[in-house]
Amino acid sequence: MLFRYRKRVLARELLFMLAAAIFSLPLYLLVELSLKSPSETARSPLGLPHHLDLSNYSSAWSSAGGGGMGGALLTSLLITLAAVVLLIVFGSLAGYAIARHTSHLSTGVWLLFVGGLLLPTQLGTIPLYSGMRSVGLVGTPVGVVLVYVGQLMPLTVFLLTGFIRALPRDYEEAAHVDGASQLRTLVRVVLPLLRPIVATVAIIDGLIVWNDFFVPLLWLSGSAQQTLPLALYSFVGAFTSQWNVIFAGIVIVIGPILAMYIAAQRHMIRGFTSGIRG
Amino acid sequence: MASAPQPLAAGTASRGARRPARLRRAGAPAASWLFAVPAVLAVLALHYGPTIAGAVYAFTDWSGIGAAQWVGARNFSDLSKDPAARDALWNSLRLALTFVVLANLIGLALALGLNRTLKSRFLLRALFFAPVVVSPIAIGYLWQYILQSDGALNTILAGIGLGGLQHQWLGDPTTARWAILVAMLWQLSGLTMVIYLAGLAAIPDEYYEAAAVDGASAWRQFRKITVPSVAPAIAINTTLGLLIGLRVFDQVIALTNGGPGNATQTLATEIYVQAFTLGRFGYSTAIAFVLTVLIVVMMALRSFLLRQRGSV
Amino acid sequence: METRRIHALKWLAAIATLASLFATGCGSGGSGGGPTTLKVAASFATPADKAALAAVISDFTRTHADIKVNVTYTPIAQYDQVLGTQIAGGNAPDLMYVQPGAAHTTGAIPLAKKGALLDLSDQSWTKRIPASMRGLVTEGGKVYAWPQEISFEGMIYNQSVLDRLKVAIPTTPSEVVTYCRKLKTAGVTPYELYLQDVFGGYQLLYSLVATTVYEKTPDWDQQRMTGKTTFAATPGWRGALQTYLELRDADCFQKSPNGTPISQALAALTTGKAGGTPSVSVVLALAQQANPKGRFAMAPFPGADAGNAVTGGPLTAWAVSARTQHKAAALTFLRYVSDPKVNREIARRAGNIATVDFAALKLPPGLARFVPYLRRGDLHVLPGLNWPAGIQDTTLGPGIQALFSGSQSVSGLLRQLDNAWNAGARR
Repeated sequence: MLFRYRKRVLARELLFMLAAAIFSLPLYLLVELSLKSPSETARSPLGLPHHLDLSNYSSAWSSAGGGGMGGALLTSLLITLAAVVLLIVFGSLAGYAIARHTSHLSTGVWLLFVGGLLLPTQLGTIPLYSGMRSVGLVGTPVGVVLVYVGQLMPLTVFLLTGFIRALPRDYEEAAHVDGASQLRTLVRVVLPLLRPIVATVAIIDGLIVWNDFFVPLLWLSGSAQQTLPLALYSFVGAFTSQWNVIFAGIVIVIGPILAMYIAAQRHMIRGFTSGIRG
Repeated sequence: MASAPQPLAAGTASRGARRPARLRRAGAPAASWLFAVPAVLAVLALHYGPTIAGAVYAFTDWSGIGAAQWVGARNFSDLSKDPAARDALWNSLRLALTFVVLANLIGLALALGLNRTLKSRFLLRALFFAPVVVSPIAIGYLWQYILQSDGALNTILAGIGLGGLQHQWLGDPTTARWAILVAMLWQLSGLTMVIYLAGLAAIPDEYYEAAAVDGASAWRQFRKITVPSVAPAIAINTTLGLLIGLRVFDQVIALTNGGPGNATQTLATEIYVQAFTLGRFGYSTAIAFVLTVLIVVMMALRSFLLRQRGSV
Repeated sequence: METRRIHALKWLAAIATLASLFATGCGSGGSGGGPTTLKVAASFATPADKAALAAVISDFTRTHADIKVNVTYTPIAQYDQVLGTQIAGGNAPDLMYVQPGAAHTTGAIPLAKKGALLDLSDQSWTKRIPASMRGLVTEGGKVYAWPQEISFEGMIYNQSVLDRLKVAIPTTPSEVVTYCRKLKTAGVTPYELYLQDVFGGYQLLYSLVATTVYEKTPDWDQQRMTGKTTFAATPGWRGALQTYLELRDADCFQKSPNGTPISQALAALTTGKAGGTPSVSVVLALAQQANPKGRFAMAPFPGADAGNAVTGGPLTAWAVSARTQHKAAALTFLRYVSDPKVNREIARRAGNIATVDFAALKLPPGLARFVPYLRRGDLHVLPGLNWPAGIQDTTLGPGIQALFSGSQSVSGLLRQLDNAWNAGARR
C-alpha cells in the first residue's frame, strides 16, 4: 500500500514538474533572449546562451532617457513605497472601523468602497488631472502617489476588511480590559496578528503600482522624472523591436519585485491562512 | 485546537461572532469612525469625485479638447446602433467569462495538486506564480514575440517536426482571441492558485483521514470537505477574475491592438480608441457607462449564483 | 516613558525621511526672474527621432543661454492620449509636435480649430513651407505649425538581394509580376507585408492610389469632404484594393501577412529573406542602420503602366500652445529649428527629408528615384492626412486586415470607409 502510494505521488510530482517546465518556457525565453545578441538569437533562438552577454542590460540601462534607468528605479521605489504605506495605514484604519461595527453606517461605508472597485478609472482621469494641476501636483511624484491612493484604496479596504472581520475578537477584548486605546489595539494587537495578510495586500498594491504605465505616463509627462515602466517603453520604437534589449529591460523591471516576492513567498501563502485558524 | 475550519471569510460577516450576552456587553468598543475618515476622504476626493465629474461628459459631444455641447442621450442611442460597440461588448463578455472559468479551474487544479505531499511544491508554486509579478504590457510583448508568424511557437513547431501546425496565431481572428486568453491565463493562474492554496491550507488533514476511515470516496471527500472550505476563495477569485476580465486592456493592446480587423476589440480598448484616436470623448464616456453597468450586472449574477451554492 | 519617546522619535525620523525624499522629487521649481524654461512635448517613432531632437535642443540651449528646454518624449502610440489630456487639463506644453493635417486628434488642424494653437502666420519661416503642404498646417487662412520633415510612400528594396538574383526594381505592373515570380522561385519573399500593425495595411495601398485616384483627381480629399464623391463611387479606390488582392494571389506576399508585425518584416528585409517591404521613407534609414553592410534602395511602386504618381507628406510639425506664457522664447525656438541648416540636421539624423530640401528638390541619394516625380509635380499629399481623425487606423488598417483574413470584401470595406468618414465629418 505504501509502495503504491509513493508511486502515485511520484507520478503526480513528475506531472506537475513537467507542467511547470512547459509553463515556464516563456519566462525562460525572456531571460535567455536578454542574454544573447541579436545575431546569436538569429542563429539559435531557443537554445541556452553560449556565454552571458550582458550588453543588452547595459544598453537597456543607459538608453532610457530622462535620468536613465537608475533615476527611474529610484522614482519607482519612492512612489511605490509611499503609495503602499499610505494605502496600508489608512486602509487598515478604515477596515478596522468597518469590520468592528455592524450598523447600517458600516454597511454603507463598506458599499462605498466596494462601489469604488466597480467604477472605471478612465472616466475620472481628465477631471482629476485638471484638479491636481490647479494645485500644482501634476508633474510631481506626490501627485502620482495621490492618484494611486485614490484608485487602490477600494481594493485595499476590500481585502483588509474581510480578514479583520474574520479575526476573533478575543485579543481585542483582552487588550481593552488591559486599558489599551483603540488605536493602540489596532497597531499592537490586530495588525501583528494579520501581519502576513497586511504583507500580502501590500505586495498586491505594490505590484500594481510598480508595473503601472498609464498613470505615470500622464502625470509625470513634462517633468524630468519617469518610472521604470516608462523608462522601459521609451526605447521601444514603433518600427523596430530590439527584443533582446527590451527583454533585458523587462528583467530589470521585474528584478526588485521578484526578489521581494521570493523573500515573502512563504509569508504570502501562509498569510492568507494564518491568523484565521482557530 | 481542531476547531471548525475558518478559511478565508473576506466579504462575509464573521461566522464565529456569536458570544454570550454577558461577554458581549463587556467586549471592546467598536472602533471610532474617525479611523475611516482619511480613507473615505481619499476615495471620495480622488476617485468618486473625478469619476462623477467625468461621467457628465457622456451627455455631451465633447471631443476631448475645447468646448463641449450638451446632447442629452444621443450618445447612448448612437451606441445602441453601433455594430462595433456591440462586437466589443460581445468580445468583452466572452473573454471575461472564459477567463473567470478557466482561471479558476486551472488555479484550483494547481492548488489541489500542489497543496501538500509533493517535495517540490514550494518551487513549483513559485514558478506558477512568477508571471503574476510581470507587468501586463511586458506580458503582451513577450507573447507577441512568441506568437508572431516567425515567432518562438512556430519555430518550435517546425523544429519538432510539427511544421504543419504552424499558423498565423495573431493574424487569424479566432486564434487571436485565444491568444489573448492564453496570455492572461498564463499571467494570472498563479494568482488564483495562491488564493485557493490559502483556502485549502486551512483544512486539517484529520478531516480527510476521518472521512476516509468512514469510507467516503475521493469525490465525496472533495464535495463535502474541500468545496465548502474553498468557498470564500471562490468568492474572491471570481470577483477578481470578473473585474480583470472585463477591464483587460494592456494585453489586448500589446498583442493585437484590437485586431485583426477589430476582432479582439473589447469595451475597454474601444473606450480608449473612441476617446483618443477618434476624438469622441463624450461617446467613449457613454461606453464606459455601459462597461460599468456590465460589471455591476456580472457581479450581481456572480453573488446570486454563489449564494445559491451556499457560499457568498 | 522612555520607550514611548524613542518610539515617537522613530516615527518622526521615518516621516522626515519620507518628506525629504519627496522634497527632492518635487518637480516644478520656482521660475523667478531667471532663465525661461520652455516645456516641449515630442512624440517619437524610433530612437533616432529622439536622438535627432535631443542633439538639436542641446545645440539650441548652448547658443541661447537665457532659455532652458525641458523636453518629454512620448511613444507615438500614446501621444494622442498624453497631449490630449495635457491640453484638456490645462497643462499644455509651450511647444509640441503635432501631425500636420487632421488625421490625429492632436493634429495641427483639429487643435487649431479648437483654439489650442497660436497663430504663427506672421513668422518669416512660413515662406519656406512648400505650397503643396501648406493646407496641412493652415486653418481659416492662418498658419499654425512648421512642418519639419517630409516622407514619401514607396517600396524599400534590399538591393543586394536583387542584384544577387539579377532582378531589377519593377517600374510597371507587369514587371512587378515578373519580379514576384523570380523572387518566389529563388525562395525569397517578394514583398513582406506587416498587417499585424494597424498602419501596415495601407502602406502599399497609398502607393497604388497615388496613381489610380490622386493622379486623376488631385483634389479627391477635398471632393470627399464636400460630399462630391465617395469611396464606393471612385473606381480608383476599388481598383487599388482589388490590385492588392491580385498581388496576393500572384504570390507576391508572404504566407501570413496578418500575423507579421513591422519589426519582423524589417528583419526579413535586412537579412535578405524578403526582397522588399512597403513603407515610408524614414524606414530606409532604419534598414540601412540595421544592416550597414547591405545596400537598400527605395522606389515608387507602380500603379499603372504609365503616368505614375507618388504620395508623400510631412509627418511632424511644430506648434505653439495658444496659452503659452513664454511666447517670445517659443518663437525663438521655432525660428531656430526652421533655419535651413538646423532643419537639415534634424532630418539627417532622423533619416527623413528636410522641408527646405524638399522645396529645393534636393533629396538624399537613396531617394533619387523620386526626384523626377517631384519635378513633374506628380507628388500628392499622403492620403489620410486630410481625413477625419482616426479613420486610417480604426477603419482602413483593420479593414485591410479583415480583407486579407477573408472576413471583409472590397465593396464592404469601401462602404465602411464611407460610413466612418460620414460619422467623423459630423464632429
